[in-house]
Amino acid sequence: MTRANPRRVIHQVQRRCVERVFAALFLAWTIAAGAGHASAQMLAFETSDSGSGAAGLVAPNLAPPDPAPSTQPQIHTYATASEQQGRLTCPGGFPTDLTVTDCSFTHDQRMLQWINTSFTDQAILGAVVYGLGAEIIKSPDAWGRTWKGYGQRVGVRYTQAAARGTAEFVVGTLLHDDPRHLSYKDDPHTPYGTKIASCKDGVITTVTYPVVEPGVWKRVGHAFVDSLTVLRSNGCGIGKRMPAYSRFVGIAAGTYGGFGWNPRSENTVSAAAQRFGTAYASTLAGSFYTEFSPELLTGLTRLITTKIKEH
Amino acid sequence: MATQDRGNARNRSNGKTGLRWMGLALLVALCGCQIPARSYRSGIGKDTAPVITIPAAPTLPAADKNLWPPHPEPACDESNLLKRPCLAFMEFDDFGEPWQRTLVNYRPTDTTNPANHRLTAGRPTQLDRVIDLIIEAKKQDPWGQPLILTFTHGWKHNASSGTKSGGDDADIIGFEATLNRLQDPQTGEWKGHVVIGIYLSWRGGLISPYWPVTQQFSYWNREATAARVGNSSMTDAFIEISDAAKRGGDCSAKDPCSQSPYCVSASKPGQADAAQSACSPVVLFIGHSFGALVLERALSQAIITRMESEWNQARALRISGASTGMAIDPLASLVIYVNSAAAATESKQVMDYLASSGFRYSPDGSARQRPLFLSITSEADLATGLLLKAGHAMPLIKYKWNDSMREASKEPAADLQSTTAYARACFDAADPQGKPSLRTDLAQTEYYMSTTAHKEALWSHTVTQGPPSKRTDADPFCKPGTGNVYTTCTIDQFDYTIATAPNRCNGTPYWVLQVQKELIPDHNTIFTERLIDFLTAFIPAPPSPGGPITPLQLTRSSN
Repeated sequence: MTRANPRRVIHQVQRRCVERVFAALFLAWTIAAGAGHASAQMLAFETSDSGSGAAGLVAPNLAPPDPAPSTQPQIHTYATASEQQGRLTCPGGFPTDLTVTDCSFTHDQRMLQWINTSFTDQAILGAVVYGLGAEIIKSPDAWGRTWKGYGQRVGVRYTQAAARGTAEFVVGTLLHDDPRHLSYKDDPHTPYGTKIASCKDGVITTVTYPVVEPGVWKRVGHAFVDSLTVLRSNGCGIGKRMPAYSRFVGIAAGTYGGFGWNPRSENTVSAAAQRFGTAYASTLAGSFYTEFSPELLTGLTRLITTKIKEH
Repeated sequence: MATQDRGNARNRSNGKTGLRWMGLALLVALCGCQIPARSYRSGIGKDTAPVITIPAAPTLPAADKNLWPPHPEPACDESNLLKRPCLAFMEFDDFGEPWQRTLVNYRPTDTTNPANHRLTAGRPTQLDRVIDLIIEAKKQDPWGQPLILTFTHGWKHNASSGTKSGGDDADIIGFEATLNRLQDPQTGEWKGHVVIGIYLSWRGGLISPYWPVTQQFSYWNREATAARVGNSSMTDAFIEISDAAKRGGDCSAKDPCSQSPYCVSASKPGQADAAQSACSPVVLFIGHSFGALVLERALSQAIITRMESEWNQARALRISGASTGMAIDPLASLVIYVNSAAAATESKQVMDYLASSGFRYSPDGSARQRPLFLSITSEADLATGLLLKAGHAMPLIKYKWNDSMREASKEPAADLQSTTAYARACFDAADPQGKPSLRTDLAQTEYYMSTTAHKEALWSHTVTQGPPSKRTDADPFCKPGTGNVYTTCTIDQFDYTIATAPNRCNGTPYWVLQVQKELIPDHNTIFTERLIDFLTAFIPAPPSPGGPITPLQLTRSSN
């Protein structure tokens, strides 16, 4: 009888974990596609892409505001520039913000995000901090807990960040997506608050839904959906949802970006899959933070204020 | 063995390469990330004109080739200020000196053309352009009451116009949109009036946004710069702006308003009633974030000097035995600090002065008080609510080490006439019989570790949010209240009731209040219709066509 090789056992466990992560991803993706379809149906609007790249939801009935029951969505139209000032509320934006004239994720914004996350101090800081964490837990084993090992760990993370950011930039530019996370309440396709219903031919139409607070599970589901999909960049912020190709290509590029640096033990499929899963988990955490940050920040502020008052 | 050696050699090589990359990255991080110290609006060479016309609001979304505002922005058409608002720029360097000075003396032969500017060598050129613009605004406003709005920006901003349409600094875009909104022919509160903006710029941005972490660490550097910039040159600019706005008004030949329709049609020009009606612009000084620190530093001493000077003049002319307070003309109609990043130590001395002198500010000296200073912040402004504490923690240790901070004392040592305990003056201007008093409840540390409006003990008013009352489009956003309620404003989904804070110490014309996140959602989102509508409750209203003007009066009760 042969003894099981511990490394092989670990790899098997890792593989199973990775398989489960992918299964969960696939499941969430399926839900996302279904939810996107459902939300579009819920609005009862037809989605369309205009020639100018302004994808929009076209309201079937542009009737004046319905004064009757407040349980029905209210529709308003703004046709002149004067009326429109402050009416273009981008997803996640503040209503009546006069500085907003365009909701699309512009080339300058994408460039800024690319440079910040890939090359400059934010990328360096990320590499230094995560490299330190890896140094502490001595990952990978092949690199000693030395300055040289730390340099290698930082270097590989910096390269991964550069690869991920660059891939996201390239794919995002090609697909014209808007990678910013959105909460359930800010999502242009959820029936909550006042949303832009259409934005065509110089006329903005908004729809105001009756206030029904979403439940926690609805928001949790939305956080998953938001981590797997993105909006198409759109001047009115109402682009269609699509799979987050740029994000996943970026994660994959980051996963394989360190291949030239890593010791051989790290250049296996299971190790790469593990890195992929970790990177996706950080994206998911970002999505959850976006969803629940108002409660988190309110709680934090209240806690600190109370502590200061007690002090 | 050979394979292992090769692996080790590769690892060594990788390590060296990694360190080289890190070194290179750090080298890049330490250089080339600064935003250059320069003037953006001199009108020299490729710089944009120092006074521009604000283009009409675009049809939204202003995407692709229709970005707003266009680049370069057109120079101001000073011959027709009623048509579009104009925005003038004044730029100051890191030490608070104006960037641009006039080289030669020049007096135009044709003085009727507003485009022909007088030039005096050595003068700040941009300031002279601003003063000319104000004089034109007074001439052209049909009621002699233009709105003159100055804005001092904060951290991470400057006067840059960018390189393409829509590329202006975000605060410039916001300020332009606000001026457009105020003068909007359909919905603007100041429709039919001349509205001009003055953007006071300093080097608020030191580090490029492409270096976001380093940019955050410029906090202390820019805070120190903001404190430096609010110095003599900027004080001079504010005084000259105020004087240019308020000077004259007697409809005489030398009066800037002499050609205004009011003076031309006045049956008895030169008389007192004409003087008040012909030329009384509303002057607002606004500062945001560190811009509020700049503004407060530049204004505080000047405003106190002006008040003392005017009060002494009025006292000399006072009829012997008169018991009423004396009217004083302040530098501005209203000074607004929005989400101020200045520590409360900056405002404390002004509040003490206003309280101990018993100042009141109201239209025609009536009981209904108005603010001369308004410090407003959002409960959701974490930048000034929490990060300021983090930013001031290190300097506080130094102050504590030097024993600089004075403590609060519950039972202050005092004789019958004075105390050396750390104290603040209290006064309630709304109480006609109110007298100044003293409280020793706060330590100096508490002022230093908070902004004015985040410190509840300094609040003059509270703002409560409730369900909306019914309102038609014809109704004003804000309706005056009675008793302790100053006003109630209906804005979107809520009613906001502004009432005097219970047991307040600060009842001076320096109003301090904190608002809900539905009015100001965070530190930077301030150019919103909601906030403009809310602030209309405090800004003197423009006169209706042909209607009377009720000037605000600052009165001082103490002798």
